[in-house]
Amino acid sequence: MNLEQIVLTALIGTSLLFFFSRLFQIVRAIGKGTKEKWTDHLGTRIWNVIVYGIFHRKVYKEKSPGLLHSFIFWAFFFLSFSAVEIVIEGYIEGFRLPLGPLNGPLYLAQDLTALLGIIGVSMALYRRLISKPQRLIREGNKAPTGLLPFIPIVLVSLFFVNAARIMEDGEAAMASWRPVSSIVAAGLSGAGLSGIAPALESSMWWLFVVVLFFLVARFPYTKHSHPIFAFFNILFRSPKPIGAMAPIPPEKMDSPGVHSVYDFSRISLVNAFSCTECGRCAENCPLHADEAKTDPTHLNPMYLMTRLKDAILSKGHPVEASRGLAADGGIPATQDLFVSVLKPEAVWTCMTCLGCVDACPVMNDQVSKVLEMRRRLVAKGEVDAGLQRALQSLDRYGNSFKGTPKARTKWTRKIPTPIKDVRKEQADILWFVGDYASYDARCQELTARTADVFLRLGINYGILHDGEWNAGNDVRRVGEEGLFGKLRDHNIETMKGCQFRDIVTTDPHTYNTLKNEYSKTNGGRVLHYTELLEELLRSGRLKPARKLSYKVTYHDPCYLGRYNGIYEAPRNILRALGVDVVEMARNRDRSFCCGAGGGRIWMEDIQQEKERPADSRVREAAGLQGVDTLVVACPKDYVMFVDAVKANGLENTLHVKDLIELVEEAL
Amino acid sequence: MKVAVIIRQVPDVVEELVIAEDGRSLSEDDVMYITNELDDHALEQALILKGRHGAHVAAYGIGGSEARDALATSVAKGADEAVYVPLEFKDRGDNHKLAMHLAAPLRDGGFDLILSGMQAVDELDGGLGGILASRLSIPYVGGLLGVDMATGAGKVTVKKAFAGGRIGIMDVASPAVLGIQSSEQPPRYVPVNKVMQAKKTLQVKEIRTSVPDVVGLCITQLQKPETGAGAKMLEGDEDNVASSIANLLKERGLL
Amino acid sequence: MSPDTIVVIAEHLKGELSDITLEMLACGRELANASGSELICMVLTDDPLPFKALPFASDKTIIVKNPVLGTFNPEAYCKVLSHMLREMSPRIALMGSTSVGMDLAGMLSVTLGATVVGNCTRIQIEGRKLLVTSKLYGGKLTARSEVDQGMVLCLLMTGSYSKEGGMKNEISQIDIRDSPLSLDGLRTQFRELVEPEEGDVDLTKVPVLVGAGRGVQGADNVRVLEELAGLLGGAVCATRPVVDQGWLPRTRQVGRSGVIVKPRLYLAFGISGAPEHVEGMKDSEFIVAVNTDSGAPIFEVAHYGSTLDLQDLAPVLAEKIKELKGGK
Repeated sequence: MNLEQIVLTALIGTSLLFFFSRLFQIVRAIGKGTKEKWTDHLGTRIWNVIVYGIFHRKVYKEKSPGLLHSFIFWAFFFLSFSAVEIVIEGYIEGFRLPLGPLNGPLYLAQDLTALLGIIGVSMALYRRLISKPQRLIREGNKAPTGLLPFIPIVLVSLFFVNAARIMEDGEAAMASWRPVSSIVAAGLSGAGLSGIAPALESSMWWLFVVVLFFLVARFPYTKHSHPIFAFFNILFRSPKPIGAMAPIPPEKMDSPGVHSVYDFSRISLVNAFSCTECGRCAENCPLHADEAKTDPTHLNPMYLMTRLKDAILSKGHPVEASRGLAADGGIPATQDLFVSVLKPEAVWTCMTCLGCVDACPVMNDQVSKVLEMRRRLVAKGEVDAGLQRALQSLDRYGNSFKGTPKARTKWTRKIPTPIKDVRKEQADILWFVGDYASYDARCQELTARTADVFLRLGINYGILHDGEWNAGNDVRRVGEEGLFGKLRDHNIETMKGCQFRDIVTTDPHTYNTLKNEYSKTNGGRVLHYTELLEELLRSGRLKPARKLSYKVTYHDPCYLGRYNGIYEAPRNILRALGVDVVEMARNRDRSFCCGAGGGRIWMEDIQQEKERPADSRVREAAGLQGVDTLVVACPKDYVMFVDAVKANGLENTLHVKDLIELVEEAL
Repeated sequence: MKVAVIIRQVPDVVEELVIAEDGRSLSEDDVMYITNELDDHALEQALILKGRHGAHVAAYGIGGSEARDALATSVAKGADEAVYVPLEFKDRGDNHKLAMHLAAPLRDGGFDLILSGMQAVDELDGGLGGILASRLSIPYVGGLLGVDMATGAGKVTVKKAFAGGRIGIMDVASPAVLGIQSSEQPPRYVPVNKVMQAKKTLQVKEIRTSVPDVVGLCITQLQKPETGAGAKMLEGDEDNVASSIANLLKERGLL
Repeated sequence: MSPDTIVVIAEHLKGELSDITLEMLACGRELANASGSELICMVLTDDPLPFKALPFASDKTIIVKNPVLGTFNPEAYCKVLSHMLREMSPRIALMGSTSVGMDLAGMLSVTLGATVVGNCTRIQIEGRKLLVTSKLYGGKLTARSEVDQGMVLCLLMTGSYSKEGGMKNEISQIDIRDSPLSLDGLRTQFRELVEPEEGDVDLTKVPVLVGAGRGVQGADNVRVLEELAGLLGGAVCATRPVVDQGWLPRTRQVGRSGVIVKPRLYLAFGISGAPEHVEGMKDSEFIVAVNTDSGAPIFEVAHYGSTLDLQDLAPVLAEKIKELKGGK
């Protein structure tokens, strides 16, 4: 081996040493997590990898970042072949990949994508240095901006290597397959620089190798580990409905949830290394997580991931690490989730709205981590005071209002006709009314209207009367799995003895759990009332007697939209009523949570909150030109927004109405 | 330190209270029982002493089968021992009778402290604590907001609530009976799973004693309070009611 | 046992007589007149001076003095009262349904073999029978009981009788004596009396009080009430459970173990009206109560009421008040 080759070997060796040792460190750390199965639905999983991993569908939720990311991705993809060729050239003169007729198309692809790559990086640099969108600046601009320029250096140096070779011998360099490099070559020749070709080739060759292997060594130490881990992350992500929480495995019954970072499953831990630190999750978070508060007392989905990464590598908060504090249970502070990742008060702030999960391009699941931590807090009895009251009321009375079960049907007194008791009589539809719809004074009126509409549409329905308990969706999401089980078992038992075809509810939270987490009691469907009304619309049974000429905007409830994909049914109904629907900027999957979910409606207000989510949302709605009505399809949304409208003095500008009110009006 | 806590089951006033046909008691079939709130505080105070000083806590559950469930909850929260004292419906709310049931087992238990809520919603014959203390010939102090070990041995320091927000600090030699008004921290939460687990593995000692009927207090009538001189209820929605109130205030020169 | 005697156990704190004593005297006076019995007021104290010249409505006042009796020590009081009541053998002994009386009643009933009736709001005598009306189940029901023999200890609730009835124009016969028993070697020792924290509002001097009860459900709803209080030139006060939860400091507690208030206006939000609290505010000039439970006992003492949710009503009320004040 000559000197050059020795240097090359040393360079590559060092780079790969860093690369693999880091990879090994990460994999070993992840390996400390618990096992979890991922072999079910393999077909779907592989399809997801293709759609989301290779074709980056979710990155395209924002058009230009999606584009620039694809450019850079494909540039690197084809670059990797060139890289292999170039490195082996260092040992075997004139080496070419033995691909037969495919060499040409490969070089073409590489040439074109390299150009696109340079364009992509330019777009990226523009965003980071000039247009500076909020979510990128939040995560701190230095590191990514620092690495970005190295990418075009790699790509450009390759162009120059190719150009130099083309200038020496166009045929041998397969110039016809390298249009861009040829243009560069032509440019250089035209400028009378053909003489520098050998020097250019040599220097650019080394530049390419040095910078490339610098990147190779550097990447796994930064968020650029994501190209390696994201594919696995997407593969491991369960295709089961997100609205179904995983039960506590029997072996964990005594200490459910997580305390040490290694209590998480390996699949969950891979999230931390797939995170691209793009900040899209934080952007969507109703906790207004755009304030770069990186410490564990604030819940910011992105920093949750970065702190998780540090915890996995036992690198946590420097102060605690130096003190070697053992947190409770003898867990070192850096691995104690409640010390280094998210303090208990922050764990309770999550609204489980799924804004983060939905936005994440690499399919991370931030919410399930918070929920696992909640399970542990509940097991330890460390529960927010307001939540404790609600849970005790739910345990005793089956509702969170500390009301006697008999009062559940108080709202029916507003209706002249008695409502069927499904426990005693058969009905087509079992209307699972829900807690808020039954007990909250403001919602009782809406429930009565719903009954009225059902009556006028001739729907054969019944309710469970005082046999109905809270369906348990939010109980489960605050980590009280035992209470959830108790509520669910009771409801299932009550429904077992009934004869009905389908279940309908007006509450998306109830809908979510009945649909995804209750075993099928009689094989029927679970429908949200908007789905039912849409069906009746299509079949002609729902015929609006008059057109309503309102200009409204519609708020997508989290548990209807992001959790269960129902966006169009309510809009179809509104349009059929003749109403003009104006969309808010944050609509459909970008809908902004009202703040009631995840049990938050039961808890005390968040201390450090700058602006309540509901306030932000009603202001957004009120800001739309000509719109005077905010339409909702969830009792909790109704309650939250009515309060917010009052709190913001918008009573005369914005009216909050449930969809059912408009339907009733139109009948 | 050994601490006994008396946990009574009383009618839940959230539910409607149905008076029996004889007009002198509640209808047995309609009563829903709940742990007496101040007894819950007493349990919490006992558990606080356990946390601080490793006290051994014995929970005495008084009532019917629902008392056993309350014992399971107590054990899930951390009580070391569960004792079930069944009480017939007609004897509920009778602290003199209860004290007679409890005197011997408590004396034999060798407890340093006996804690109970200073009052219960269904009692009419004075607090349980004083009666029990007298039977056991030990001191009693009630209305407590805090209990802790004193610096001397065999003594506890208590904080007693007086009118006007004043607090009296007292030292009491153990054994003693203490009537709790409020535990130092609100009663803790225990997850449902833990309670269900405790129910399955619950080991309960049962105490059945027969006690002679005490003649003395005789309730002749139970009724809903006379609402003749009650409030004039304002009807309408928030707007109407708020306007009515505001106008009333204005009329009375309060604005 | 003739003539019958009726004894009132006086209560005092820091040398000041508690109002409940006068109410008990009023009740005792009524009973004594109706039955021809002698009404005796018993004061246990370390210094007879503050009590010597008080115009009690009793026929006789016995002041028992001993240094240990200066502050309320249940053991000491019980020892002395057992002895004296056994000697005097009254028909009825009246005690306050307070942190003093409630400590004593149980113990005395055992040592004296007497019947106890708690939560009393009204006591009547009919021949040999004593007819007592009491509150039960947090005030949701009223119980009438009868006792026809033996000594009876009645715990009287604050606010059941008028204080004026407990006084008369002359000073009754005073008998000052030392404690009949030694009060050495007691197992209960009183160490100190701690005053509530300074720097907060004196609820007894505020003309308008907005009361926060359990129905308030959280510290943030207290804010709305604070706004209301501010608009009306008043302050927010609380029931015991609210203070226990830490939503308001203990200095704001109104009720039996808090402050007794008599403001011009008391707005009760989410307060059920349990006797311990009602004792503290029932003499307010004008009471308006808001509670979603139409059966809440607070509506018995309130002048006006509403079953709307306070979270809905309070902000709207604040607006209306602002309007009427000419603000908005």
